[in-house]
Amino acid sequence: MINLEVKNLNIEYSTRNGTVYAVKDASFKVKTKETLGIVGESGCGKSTTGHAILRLLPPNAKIKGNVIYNNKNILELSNKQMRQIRGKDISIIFQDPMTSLDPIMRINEHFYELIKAHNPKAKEEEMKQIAEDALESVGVSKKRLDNYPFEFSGGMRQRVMIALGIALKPSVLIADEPTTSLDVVVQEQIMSVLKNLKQTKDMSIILITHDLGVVAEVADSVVVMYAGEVVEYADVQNLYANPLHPYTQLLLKSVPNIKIGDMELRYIPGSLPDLKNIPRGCRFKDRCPYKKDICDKEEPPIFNVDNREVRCWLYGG
Amino acid sequence: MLITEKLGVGCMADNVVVVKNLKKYFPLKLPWLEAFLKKEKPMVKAVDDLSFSIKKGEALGLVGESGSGKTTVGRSIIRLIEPTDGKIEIGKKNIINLTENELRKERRNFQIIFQDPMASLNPYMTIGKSVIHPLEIHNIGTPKERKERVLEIFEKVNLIPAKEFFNRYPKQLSGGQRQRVVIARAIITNPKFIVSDEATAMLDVSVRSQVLQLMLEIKKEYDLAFLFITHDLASAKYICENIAVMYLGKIVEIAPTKELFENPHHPYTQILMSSIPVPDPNFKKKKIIPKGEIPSPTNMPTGCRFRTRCPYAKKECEDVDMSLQMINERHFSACPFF
Amino acid sequence: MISEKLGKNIKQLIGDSSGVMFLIGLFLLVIFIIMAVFAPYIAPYSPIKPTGAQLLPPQVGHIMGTDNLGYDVFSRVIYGSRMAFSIAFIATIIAAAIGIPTGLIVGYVGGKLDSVVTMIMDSIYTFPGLILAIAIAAMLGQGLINISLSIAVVYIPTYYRVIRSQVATIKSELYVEGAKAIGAKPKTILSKYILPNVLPSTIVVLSMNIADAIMTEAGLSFLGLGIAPPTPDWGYDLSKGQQFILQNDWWLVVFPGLAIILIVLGFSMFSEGLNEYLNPNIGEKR
Repeated sequence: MINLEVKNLNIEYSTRNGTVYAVKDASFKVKTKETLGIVGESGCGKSTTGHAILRLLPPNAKIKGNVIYNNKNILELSNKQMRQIRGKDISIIFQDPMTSLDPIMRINEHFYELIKAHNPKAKEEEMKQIAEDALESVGVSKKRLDNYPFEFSGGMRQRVMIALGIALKPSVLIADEPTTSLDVVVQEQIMSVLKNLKQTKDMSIILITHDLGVVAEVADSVVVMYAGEVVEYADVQNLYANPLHPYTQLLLKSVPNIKIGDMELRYIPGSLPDLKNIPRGCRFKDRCPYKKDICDKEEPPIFNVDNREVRCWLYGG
Repeated sequence: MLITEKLGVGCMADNVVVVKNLKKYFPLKLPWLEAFLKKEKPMVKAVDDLSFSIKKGEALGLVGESGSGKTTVGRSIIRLIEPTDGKIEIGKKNIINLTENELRKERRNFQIIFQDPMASLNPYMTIGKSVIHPLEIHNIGTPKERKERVLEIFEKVNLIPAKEFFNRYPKQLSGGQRQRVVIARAIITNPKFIVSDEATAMLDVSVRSQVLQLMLEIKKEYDLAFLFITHDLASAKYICENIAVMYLGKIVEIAPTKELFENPHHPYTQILMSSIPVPDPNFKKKKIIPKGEIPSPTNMPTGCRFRTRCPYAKKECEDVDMSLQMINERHFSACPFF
Repeated sequence: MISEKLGKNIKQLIGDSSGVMFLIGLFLLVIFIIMAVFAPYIAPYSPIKPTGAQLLPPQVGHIMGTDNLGYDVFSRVIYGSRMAFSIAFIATIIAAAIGIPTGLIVGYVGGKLDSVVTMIMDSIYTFPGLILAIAIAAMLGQGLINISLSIAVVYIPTYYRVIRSQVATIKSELYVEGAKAIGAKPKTILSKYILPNVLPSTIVVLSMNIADAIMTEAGLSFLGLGIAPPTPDWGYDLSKGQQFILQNDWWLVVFPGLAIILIVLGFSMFSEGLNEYLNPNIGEKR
């Protein structure tokens, strides 16, 4: 069953220096119990997409398209209806656990605030139970409900964030770079928490990250974004075994690995196009080793190849 | 002879950097009553008795997580932070005894590359001026020669066309380009030793290897000694001849790179290696999960500092002194039991 | 500061268009600047000689009337702008010239010097501005330089505080550490790496400061501590004109008063608008 579907999402920012075309024509879906990884480098639009789903973008952003949840396009809901969805049906957790939690509120107060926002009449025992259950599913002792955020380490804080994200049993959890600011050992622990949640709850997870290793471990399907566009969309096995888009291929090759026999340093030459001044044709053309004439003139549409999607002239047209 | 001087071939005369018993302790600020009552001032022992040496043309990787003290080592060695104790020799010169003025003049021989390319450059100076500045400070060459040298270095770090980049401001450059500017500034005075403090951590993956490649090239061309500080073992693999793993202020293992990857000895090193996410969904790694969390640096466990999280901990670990034991010819580990 | 409150209130009235506010402020300022620069060409009469009968209401020939000594009020208002500008500028420049370097050095050095100097500056800062200016003016006496100095002292802590707190933050920035790492001397670090990064914040402060300084100067001369008569000065004229209100001779008070209000408004709107432009706020989330 499809929990969330994003169709033709377009996001523009109007800034003093011109319009930034942050996301163009992004489409993907997430099923129950599925983890979708959205992977890409800085400026690709993955974080913007995640925030746009919950309409958390700044006022100078213009969003067009469809985000379909429960058979409705939630981009068209009123602010009040949107607030009811946030935290309860669709939740989001952010990158930096240091600043996401209120330093002068205890953890239980964080939960109570969340619960009361959706159910003002909730009783204290109910709320406490919800909080304790949530903490348990992420591996935090319920005795720590009385603690303040500063009493937790970075990894534990992130677990608390996840607990807050799943407390009201949302159908979709958006995790925006949840492990980026954490050490590699702690990152491993958080990934276990996420994998565990996937199995025990009826939830979809959208995991936004730049780390291809994290995605390989946790995700079931993957969306690769470049310069604001979805360039490849496939299940995780096929994407890593047989990447189709040149960007995906080059990206996978350029990740430093721990194989002692492989000492070659590979990278993608060139740099991102200016999102205020997008050149004609394919956005990756200046860095692509397989560039053809048509890549200069026209933007490739999404082609369907073997139940996967690729935005590249090598596969059609 | 230092344990680590046994690493690598060549004689001791090749040593560019020699560090002995480096310590950096940070005093904790207590409320005055507690400070008055406590006899021994509580300290954060960020770097606790480190010794190592680095030869000409070689890179030593210093790997660890946050709280390991690796960043403090980098800054203490070049006295951006004053070490609490220890001996430091760079290019055969004792760095510790230098006065402020002498130290400033000596800085042309050792440089540092920081982690955050966005914050490393003065937003109000063109990158040309930023890179020329070390030459001006140390009175190297005539103004004309200096500019030529900057343009030459820009070509070397692939900032071309050099003349165009000279007049640009940092905000007009990407992260990778800025980091190359920082590298350019670091090598322009022909130093003997470079500290790279997580220089690639904040760069995009596709660019990371490019900067690593550049560092490899300059290491070779200028015969530089390198201290490569990172939390990413994988990046260290490409540049470093030897790698030291740190935990809570101490080196727990040190070995040549290939040896470390093929035979990690210390439990912490093994955990670190198994935690690195591999971009392959079918890769089944042996997961060793450490228990609990990293202890507070003000309240470190007695004996082996890793014992509270070590899956193989025994009672005897409380009395271990964490000195480096020889595993084989060039491989040392602080765990006596494994 | 009074000008800050004015600026914020006006912003609420007009709405969020910082451009509009900036332009109105700029427009007002330009008018006054023209007034000051071209005073001899604009003013119909000399401001310090009787040119008409005393206490004439506004009429043809004296569009703002005359005062009790027969001076043309319009000419006095025009020439008064020179006094306002010159004192305000001189005072502000002196205050900045002392406050900024002090803030730079103390902020960089830190430690005990910081505690001592900041304590002194804070004491001056919390002292009500006008009263402090009065006290110093009373000591120094009249005259353009003395008045400027009295006013300058009031504002030195403003610059000190703004610069010092920024320096304290910036000195731990990576590019400053980088400058140390390449061997730069503290003097060079302060002038090339820190100063250019803290100066922009002073532009807005400067602008607001001038508005405040004009008010303070008007206040001083209102109380008789300002420039000696018959030099045209709005504050002085205001003070002198008070007694004639009861006779319904309103023009002696209204026009100088209006001039003060408009020029302060001009500077306030200009600096608020400038502030919005230089440091844009993203605005609230919906």
